Amino acid sequence: MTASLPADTATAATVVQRRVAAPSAARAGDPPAVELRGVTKRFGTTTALESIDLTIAKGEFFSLLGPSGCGKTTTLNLIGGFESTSSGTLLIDGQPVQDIPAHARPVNTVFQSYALFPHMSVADNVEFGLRMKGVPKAERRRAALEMLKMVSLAGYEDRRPSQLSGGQRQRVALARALVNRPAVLLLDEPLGALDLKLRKQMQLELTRLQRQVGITFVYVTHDQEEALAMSDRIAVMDHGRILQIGTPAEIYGAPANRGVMEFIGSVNALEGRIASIGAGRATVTLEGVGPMAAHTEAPAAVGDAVAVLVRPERIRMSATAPAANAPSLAGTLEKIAPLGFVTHCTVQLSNQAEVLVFRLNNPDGSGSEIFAEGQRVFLWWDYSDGRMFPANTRIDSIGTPQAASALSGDRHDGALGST
Amino acid sequence: MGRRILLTYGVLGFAFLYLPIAFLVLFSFNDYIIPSLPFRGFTLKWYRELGYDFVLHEALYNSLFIAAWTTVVSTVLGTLAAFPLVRCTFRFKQTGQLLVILPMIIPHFLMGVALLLFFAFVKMPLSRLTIILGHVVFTLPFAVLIVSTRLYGFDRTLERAAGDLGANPARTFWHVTLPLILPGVVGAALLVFTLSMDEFLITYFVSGQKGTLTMYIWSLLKDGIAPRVNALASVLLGGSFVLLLIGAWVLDRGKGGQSKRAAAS
Repeated sequence: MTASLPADTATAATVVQRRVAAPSAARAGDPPAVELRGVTKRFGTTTALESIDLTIAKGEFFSLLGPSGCGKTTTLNLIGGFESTSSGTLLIDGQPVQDIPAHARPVNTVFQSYALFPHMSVADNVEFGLRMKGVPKAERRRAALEMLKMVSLAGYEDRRPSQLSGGQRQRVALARALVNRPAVLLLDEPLGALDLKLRKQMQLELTRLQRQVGITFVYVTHDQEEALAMSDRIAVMDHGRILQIGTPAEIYGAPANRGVMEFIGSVNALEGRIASIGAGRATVTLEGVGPMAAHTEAPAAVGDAVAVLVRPERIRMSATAPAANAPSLAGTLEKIAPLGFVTHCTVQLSNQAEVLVFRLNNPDGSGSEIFAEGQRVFLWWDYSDGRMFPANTRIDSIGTPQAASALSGDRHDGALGST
Repeated sequence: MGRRILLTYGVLGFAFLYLPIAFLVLFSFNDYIIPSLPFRGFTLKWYRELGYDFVLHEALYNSLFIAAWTTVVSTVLGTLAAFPLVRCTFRFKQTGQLLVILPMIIPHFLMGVALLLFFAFVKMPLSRLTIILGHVVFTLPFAVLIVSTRLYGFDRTLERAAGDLGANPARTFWHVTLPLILPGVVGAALLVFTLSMDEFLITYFVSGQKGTLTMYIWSLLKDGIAPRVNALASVLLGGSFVLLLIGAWVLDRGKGGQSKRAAAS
């Protein structure tokens, strides 16, 4: 599904407007739901978070995305009050909360393990927060039943958590948190323990529920597809820093740096030198193979060593060379792997580097040209699709295992592997 | 064939364990002053005799009083001690755990002597209080151990969740932690009560004027084995068994109860 997202920034901008306008009931002048200003967290000598700045608007579905150890869960724990900041300011609803313990914050959490109380019924679990607030029995029972209905668990109120399936426990955990009407709901990889099909279903339900209740969601995940599918905005994190904050379309289509681009979706990385450049458009020579189209917003000069990153679904492939003076690469079609609605093609260039090309299996998507393994093909793409970054700037933990000139086909499970 | 040998072996093993007790119970119903075979006839008169024995009644009261207080003190202290011993990290933690468990394996005879010397040293008159203190010393390790097993399997995310839902630490303990470790606490209490009721050696050293049930039985045995002793021992045995069964049931319910309930639905 990521493959279908528009990748050029012009289209991305319209998507941004639609998404931001949709969920938020926030009025101008309202303080943001959560604000982190220069927040740093150290555990002993290791720094888990390095001066994080983050503003999450009211009613937003905001995801913290990154590999394990990137600091996303630490960020969540800071907002929830389970950890205290080493320095910086943390505001919830405009109020500084550094000195407020977890149980007094207007924040609730859905834990990865659900953490339902095993000695209480489903209804008692959901009522717990209201009970702690001193809400009368009848009133809190009514609120709990209403919330259980909202998560499609009406009639389950007398069961024990041990009598529920994983997906049902997940919903109880959601209901238990949402019934308190928190200013912010924190979700710590809540779908991690569910199987794929259920996960997809819960993704839809979660977004629906979030729109319905209008509560700010802060969602931690390492699953980029999940983040792209559900979020209004995403913060991509690594090594205790935020690499980029943006809408899913921005993150996918206009990654701020190579780390983000390689972490989100599949990508081919080809390293060469700039042959010509003007107005952000460049032609990059891949040594011994040919010229490639690329663009950049950063200053660059002819002769610079750069990496061109291009999404597999943006590459065009044909047996005949494109129109004159359009940069293209020639190679041999090594392997055709049809994966249902998409076909993965591996093309080996003359410098032995492999390029992955996705072709959508419909007549409009990739044309009707028929290919055979072993045949000679030309690859090219629009200038806007080849994103140019300085060479050797890759962030190791977040990127692909390949280092230098090209990306082979063995790590393309990112965007489409789980479909 | 092999099964038959195993079965015989098993039966013999259990016979070795329980036959003496079976005889004790059997002779408590034997209508003869000397507990020996053959069985002369069924009677309840030894049990009736227990009812007229006022010294016995006072001893029983003392034993129950002591066991009750020992149970309360030992279970509360044991539960409190289990938390840091399981959850905290501190220097000499393992040493600490070992020192808590150690009184379990110190012979009661030695402990009795040590306690007697100690009470004499601090000039504390021997009374029911000294017996209770002595019993707390030897039952505490059991309480700590049983509550600890519950705490080791405790998912602390549940406490975080309670805090997240607005429960302060005290209410988190009351509403979440305590109910979940309760089977361990109840099990500990039952075991401590039984241990205290049955204790003889330490009690003998630190009892002073106040005799307990076990001491009373000991005094009866000095004049040969009276049938009354058999009856009394049978009653005690029955009581202990019932308590242990309840304890085992409560512990089991706490552990496997969730899956059983799930299977039942």
